[in-house]
Amino acid sequence: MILRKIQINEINLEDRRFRFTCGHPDEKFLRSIKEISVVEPVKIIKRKASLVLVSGWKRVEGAISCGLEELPGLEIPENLSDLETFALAFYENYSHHQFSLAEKSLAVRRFSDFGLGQTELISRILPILELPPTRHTLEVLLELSDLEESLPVIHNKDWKLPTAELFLRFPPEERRLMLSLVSDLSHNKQREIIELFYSLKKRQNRNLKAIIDEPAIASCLERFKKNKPEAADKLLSILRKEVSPLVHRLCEEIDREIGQFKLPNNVRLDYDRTLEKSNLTLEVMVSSQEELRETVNKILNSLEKENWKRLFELLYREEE
Amino acid sequence: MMTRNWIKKVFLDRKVEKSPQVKKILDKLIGVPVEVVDGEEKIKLELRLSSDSVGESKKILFLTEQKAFIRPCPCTPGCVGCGYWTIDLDINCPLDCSYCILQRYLEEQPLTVSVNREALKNELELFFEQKRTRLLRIGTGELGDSLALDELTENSLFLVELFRKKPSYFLELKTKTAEIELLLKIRPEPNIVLAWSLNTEKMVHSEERGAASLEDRLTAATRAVNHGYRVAFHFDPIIHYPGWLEGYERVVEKLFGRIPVEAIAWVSLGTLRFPSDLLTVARRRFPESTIYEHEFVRSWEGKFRYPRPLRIKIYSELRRMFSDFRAENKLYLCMESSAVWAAFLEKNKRGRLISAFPFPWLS
Repeated sequence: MILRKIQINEINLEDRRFRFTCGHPDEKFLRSIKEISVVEPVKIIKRKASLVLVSGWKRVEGAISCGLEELPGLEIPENLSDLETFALAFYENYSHHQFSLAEKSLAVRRFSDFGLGQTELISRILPILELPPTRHTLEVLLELSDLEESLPVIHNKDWKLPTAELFLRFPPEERRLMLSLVSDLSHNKQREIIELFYSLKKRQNRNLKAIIDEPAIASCLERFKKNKPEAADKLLSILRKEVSPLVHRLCEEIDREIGQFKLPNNVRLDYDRTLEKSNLTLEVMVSSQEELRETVNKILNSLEKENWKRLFELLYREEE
Repeated sequence: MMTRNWIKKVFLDRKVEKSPQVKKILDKLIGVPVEVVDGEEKIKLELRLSSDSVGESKKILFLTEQKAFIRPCPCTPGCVGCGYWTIDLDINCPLDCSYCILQRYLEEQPLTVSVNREALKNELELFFEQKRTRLLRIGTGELGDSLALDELTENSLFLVELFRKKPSYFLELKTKTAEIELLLKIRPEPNIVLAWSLNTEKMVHSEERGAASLEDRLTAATRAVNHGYRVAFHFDPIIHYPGWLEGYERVVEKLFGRIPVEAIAWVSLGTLRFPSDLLTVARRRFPESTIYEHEFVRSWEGKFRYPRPLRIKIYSELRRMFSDFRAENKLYLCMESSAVWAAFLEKNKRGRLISAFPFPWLS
């Protein structure tokens, strides 16, 4: 390998055959380049008449942003095959980089395109990537690597394999639609929205468009477009209600009943919102014996009300 | 069912190569390739290379030995147990039900048959010695179907012999097949219970790939009763879908149209439940199935279940159906919370809660 200064315009940046990382230079990275330039050499290899970048995409992008024209480069012997060269890029990053699922999918795609067999990929590469070493995982990753539009979101929000797998079950046009809705949300919210949409679609045997055209959801999406941050929570709440109508309805009835009690402010009445447990919990916040006596008396007085009976009936209710 | 036609390959653990039981099994699998291995690793690797490792695992037979066979049924934390014990003689199942938890538990486990029967015999003798004080139920249907591989292994015959003259130990052979020919050739005992999992015809057809039809199961149960066996039934998982009530009503009517109440040892009820990681596997393997797209709650132990008010409704309807045939006292719930048991027993007016053995009618 030869260490030398290379002109950035010597590199054919259109040739991205070895790229599998998705990160771009952030502000801190750019500040560092401005202060001390690029110190760590990028790796390059000669292919035909030009140089191809093997690793160091972030450094090159940073250097260009900072107006640098050259940077240190380590030239790899050109007799190395693409597979050997990519393995070099991969393992160099592997030692100090926590790959996202999007990056893992691209790495697997590159290994596969450069000729690494399925058995090797499954038994050697997938365990390194901390993924289940199965052919199914490999198939999911290869499919994922083809979703160019979706990869930035999958990378930025650090999606996990089950989320991606469910996402792949939507047809391409619905994936695009869904990404346009959820791209700015946290992974947890994205995951839950994808799950809820999937469930509704299958349960109601409708397409995604028909579901999001429902008035309640459509109005929520309007707010989305206006960048109202609470719209995501509202959407989640609408979807949860649609997916869990029975529990939701009963909880609403129970809440309404509890609201009727007008218990003292230092008393909180609560219950298990999955309705798995049929008991109530009563939290009493007091700081003296006298206050406790007074509060307990108020609670005892309230026991005369019919609401308590109705409340327990609701908690024990059988679906009709 | 002709399991032997399904099996693509046999892996033989070198440790049991010389076992007479192995020879008997292989004699029934003429033409199926056999490879001797030193452990499971090679088989697991082969399964991992398949797009559907679960489906593939059901076509590969692994003959091996096992150190221990008997364990208490783990039930589920926070549920009312029924004091059941299991014998893990066959692990994994050639049937392919969309709701089966083994898809997750045994993802890379071939159809594994342990052939060291002497060890099981010794372990059972010790078990009988140690558990003398009460009636006890034990079965082989926890990690596989008790009879699906029986034409190959003849394990049912071996087990029945071990349970003869042990009247307080009930051996349950639980199945979704109609494979009882071998058992019809031997003398039954009151403590040998042949059990069938039952579901509505719609669910059998759409969710229980490879299993016998409802009609065939009931015919097999009828033959078993006519031969003198006690039988049991498991409505598990009960699946809630449009038309479920009529569906289960028809099953119960058919059941009692053919089986006398007195021949029934017990009937369990359990609604669909599953851990979250089964969802990914099942949705992938059964894309047409809609049973996972229902309203569920994440219950105390992390499993998805139908909401409690719905479960209570389902159990109460099933209880009503059984009471029409004066058979409600044969019912118990499988893996249910004490809250649901309490609601169930309130209507049943019988039994104790948190009972380790809720089957007083067997005593």
